[in-house]
Amino acid sequence: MAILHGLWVRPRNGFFLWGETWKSLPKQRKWPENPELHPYSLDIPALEQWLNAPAEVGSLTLTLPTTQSGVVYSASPPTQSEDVRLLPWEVSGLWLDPLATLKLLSGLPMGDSDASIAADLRFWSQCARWILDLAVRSKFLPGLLPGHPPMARWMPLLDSAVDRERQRSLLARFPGACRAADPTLSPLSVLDHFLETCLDAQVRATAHGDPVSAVGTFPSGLTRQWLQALSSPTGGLPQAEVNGLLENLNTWQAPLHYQDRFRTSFRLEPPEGEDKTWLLHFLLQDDGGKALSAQAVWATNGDLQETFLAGLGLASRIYGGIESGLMTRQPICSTLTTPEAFQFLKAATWRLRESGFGVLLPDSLSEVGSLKNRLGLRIEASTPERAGGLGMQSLLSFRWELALGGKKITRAEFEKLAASQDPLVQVGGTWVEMRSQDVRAARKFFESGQDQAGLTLEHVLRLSVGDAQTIAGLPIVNFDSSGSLKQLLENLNDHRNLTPIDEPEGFQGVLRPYQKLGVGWLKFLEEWGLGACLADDMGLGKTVQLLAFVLHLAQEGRLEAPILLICPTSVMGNWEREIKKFSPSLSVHVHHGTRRPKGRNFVEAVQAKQIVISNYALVQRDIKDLKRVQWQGLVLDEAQNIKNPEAKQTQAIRELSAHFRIALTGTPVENRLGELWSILEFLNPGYLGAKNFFQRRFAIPIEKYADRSSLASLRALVQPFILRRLKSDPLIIQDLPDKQENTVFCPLTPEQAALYEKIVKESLEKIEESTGIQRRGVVLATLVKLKQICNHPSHFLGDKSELFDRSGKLSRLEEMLEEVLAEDDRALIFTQFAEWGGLLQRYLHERLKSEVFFLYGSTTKNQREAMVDRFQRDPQGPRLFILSLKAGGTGLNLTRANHVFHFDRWWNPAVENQATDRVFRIGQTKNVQVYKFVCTGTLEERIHLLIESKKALAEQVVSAGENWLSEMSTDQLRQLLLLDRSEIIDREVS
Amino acid sequence: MNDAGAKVFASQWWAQRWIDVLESFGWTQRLARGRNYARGGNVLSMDFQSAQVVAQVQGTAPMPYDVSLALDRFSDEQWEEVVANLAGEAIFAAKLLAGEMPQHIERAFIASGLSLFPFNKWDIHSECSCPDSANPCKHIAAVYYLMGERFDQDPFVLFALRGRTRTEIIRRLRELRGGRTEIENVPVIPDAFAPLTPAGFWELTGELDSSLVVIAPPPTGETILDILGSPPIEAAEPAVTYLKALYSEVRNRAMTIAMGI
Repeated sequence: MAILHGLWVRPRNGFFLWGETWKSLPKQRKWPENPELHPYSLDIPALEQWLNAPAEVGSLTLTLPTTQSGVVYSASPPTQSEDVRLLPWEVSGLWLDPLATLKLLSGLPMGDSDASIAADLRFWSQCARWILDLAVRSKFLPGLLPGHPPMARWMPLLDSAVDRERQRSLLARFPGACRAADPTLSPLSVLDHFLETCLDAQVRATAHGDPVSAVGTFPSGLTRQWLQALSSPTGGLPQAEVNGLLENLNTWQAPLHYQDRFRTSFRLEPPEGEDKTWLLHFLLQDDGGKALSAQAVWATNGDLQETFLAGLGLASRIYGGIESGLMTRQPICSTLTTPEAFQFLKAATWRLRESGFGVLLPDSLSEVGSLKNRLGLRIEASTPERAGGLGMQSLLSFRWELALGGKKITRAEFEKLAASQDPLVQVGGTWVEMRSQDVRAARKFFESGQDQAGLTLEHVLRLSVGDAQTIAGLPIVNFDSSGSLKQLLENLNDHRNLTPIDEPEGFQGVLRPYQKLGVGWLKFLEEWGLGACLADDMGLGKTVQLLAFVLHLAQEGRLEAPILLICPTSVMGNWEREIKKFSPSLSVHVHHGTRRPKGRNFVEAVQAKQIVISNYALVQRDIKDLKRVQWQGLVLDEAQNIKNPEAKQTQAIRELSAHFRIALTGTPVENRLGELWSILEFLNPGYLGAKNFFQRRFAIPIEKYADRSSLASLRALVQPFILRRLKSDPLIIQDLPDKQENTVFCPLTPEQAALYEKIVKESLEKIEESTGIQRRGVVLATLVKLKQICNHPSHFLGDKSELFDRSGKLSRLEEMLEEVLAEDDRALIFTQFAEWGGLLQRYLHERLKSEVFFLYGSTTKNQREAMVDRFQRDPQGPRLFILSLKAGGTGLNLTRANHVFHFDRWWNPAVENQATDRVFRIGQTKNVQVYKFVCTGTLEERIHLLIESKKALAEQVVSAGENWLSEMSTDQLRQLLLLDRSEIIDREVS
Repeated sequence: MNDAGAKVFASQWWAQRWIDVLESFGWTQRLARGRNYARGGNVLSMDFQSAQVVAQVQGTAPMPYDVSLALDRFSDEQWEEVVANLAGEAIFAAKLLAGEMPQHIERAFIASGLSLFPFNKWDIHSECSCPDSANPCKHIAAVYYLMGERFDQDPFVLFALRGRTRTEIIRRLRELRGGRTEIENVPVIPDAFAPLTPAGFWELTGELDSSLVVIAPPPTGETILDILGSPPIEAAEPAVTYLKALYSEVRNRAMTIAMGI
């Protein structure tokens, strides 16, 4: 994968876009003397393709970190001990003009979610965002630069405190890479130049494309020439003599330039005692925010006084109330009435601040802490004794008292204050704002009686994470909980205090410590009627935890109705087998196939069962029947399948009712916001708000602008309902074996089944007719054909046809690889068929949008080494590696992978183990997950069972490869090969 | 010439004041003709040469007439007194520094028995090369009106006609406060920066300023143009109208880009 970089180049008035792509380089041991070509530089066609817009091709010398072995690849982990120097390198790239620059940068994500966008490029995109903000806030002025010709130019106006802070913060974060074109230039000068040039281009382009083309009808003269130049592409004025205009413009804008190192500021002081006069003190603040009182300014010599006076003059244009204070020789303040003070707070404060003036307000009147000062309720809520049947919408009892300015007030005091109708009132010596909407809400609250203002569990959850702030329109200024509610909130926000649950009765296996905690967590949320999303990493045993939880319910006598488990078709067989293995006492109904029961028969068939397994496609089709049953629980496996809220299957699933809801997923659901919303909407409907609200409030700020505060709010909201443990967590690692073997059972598609049966039938006939070597040949050929069919119909047919959705194994592999990639892990995929490896490589590359390596017999030694080198060392190298079992089974060290997939089987554990050992070797720091794919109902499953059940014997039997199969009698072979039709994927068309 | 009919000679209080003073003298007929001349573009040129205005007005004759106009200059002593009065109330200096004509500036002149605006017709000294013996003739009246328009853009021209520029007044006020005569340029803060090093070369610390996440237009349509007022340039009024429309278009466009539409 390529990494894209960019930087503003001052002398060129343009943006230079370039990229890197990793490659294996011959080792070097000398410092380059002249600028050499950057070896990782991304080629121009690739850059052009990415940019997808016209741009001029060019090259630039950049000063970049270099070690003795060459230029440092930007995504490499930082080198500690090595001698790193800054040396020039020649880089090819594309030149963008200011407008194209803004266009590119404003379309880029600003967070670090996309690893192909380097930090330097992200930095500029943040600067571009600043330019847009300046344009929206009209923080720019038309100007004129003397010269030949004189140039009309739009200049940014950075007079407000917020823009100065942005400038300061961007300079403090200026990445070194953004200075690579000329390290002698100061970051400030580069940033200023970028800001000025791009803002000018943006405003100029708007003026040029002008729906406001009134300039053409202006009386001819210098003003007209100037305005025309402000909208022309070049900006030059035809007339050279512009001194008069220049002077007039300077006079016009001069007041702004007084506000430079010092700014005039105002401090509002509320009245004390009986007096009702507010004072607006005049101050002068320096850069560091240190304030001089007016008296102190008048005591200085005249220069500071002039800055001060100019500021007062300009401020008086913005807020007229200042003028009345300026009627003396050395004014120190203005006086305001209470309504005037209110108007100052509401209208003048932000305008003054936006124009670069400081405004200091008493704490009780500043925006900070405005909520706690508002008229509102202090609430203490509790639940009845911990009982079942509680849910998100359950009402809680609560005690309340009215508060204003953070102090308790009585109803009588409230009525008295409200009657005065003053917007600013004094409570216990503090002045606070009393908003009319709060007064109205309080009245309504009293009139309707507090019980009508329902406080739900959902409300309390929001309050506890600071999301909700009102009840019945009244601010909640303080919230407390007591008793079991307090306990609930504590446990929700910190899973670690939950009680783990040991293996329940009938559980065949051992739960690891973190799994016991997971079961306890499921039980905890179930008891409170809250939906739970178990999102542990792949391989941590979500299935086992769910089954233990179900058995626990049964053990407590609380499993009264069936649980509906909805999963992708590709894992139905897997579930059935896992239930048999870990919880054989649970009664199961698998709802699929053309002969599945319908209507009343369906209800009868499932009523006495404990778990009913069905798939996503069928839920939509059989929704009527599924709705006839009152489910105890609804479990979604691979819950990312409902990520599209508009999809019919998602909507059907929402129609089902159940006492508890659980979602299982292995994808990092917290980072995929669309998915997160859909899953939470299923688990706890309404909790995250409507989809479009969620988009505006969370998805866009987080995904596009990497807004940390929105992310933190969202995390706090969903955190109680998502349990996600990572394999890399040191606490988990110590619970895990170094290597875990998993069998992945996959169904055949109807197409595969038909082919399979046809080949079995034809082959058995041939086998019966032949003997000796010929018979053996037929048997082995049949075996190969059947394996190919299990892999994919196209693999068997060799017809280069479309691969999508025709093979159970392939569908499952794709699903699992998505999780591998989502977890930033790496995987090896073994197959014994080189031709299948090739098909698989193209397919996965296209579907997963990820580079995939493929190593097989014809791969040259050089290619082989390059691939292994990149896989092991390239920071952004491919994360999927397909190997043919013969070519890749030995001699390679691929310890960067921690997942191994055996797509088809060799039936010889020794061969498979040898392949697995490519990753399970010295240097492996993670747990290794091994997945062996098996098609259910086929010879693959039968041989698998044979090997699993009599391991010792089987190892002897199969050690000679697959020859032993050819020694079987035809009847034995028939038993082995015949397809169990109940296992194929249901493809009934509704 | 339809546009000219709508021409307003004064939008600011001080310019209106000038017109009011003029019209109070009661030369109704001649002023009306002069106004038509001014609207019709008969004033070909008008220059302020220190305390005097020199203009060319196209009359009925083929050659334009030369018009000159001056007010009584105040003496240095009179100015000294006026500036001392100005120094007595900070609002005068504050407004002058902010480029605005203080509303009650007249107070400072009246206190010294003077008037910034002409008080009677003998305060205004005008001459015209036309054969009409009446003063003011319509040519002079036309220049009166255009001066009103000029004051609108730059109120300090009035000071100049009385013998002091705005800068001179501000400088004298500064001296009275005990400041240095000339304000030095604000010393530029040295733009110090660290040399480039390989450490953290490829890194960006911290995230986007949260105030930039949601770009929203300000609560009012007010812009810097409203705060600064009209620039003291010719055709200031249509220029400001044009700029305001442009600012609003720039805002809309930038919003569109910022919202990623």
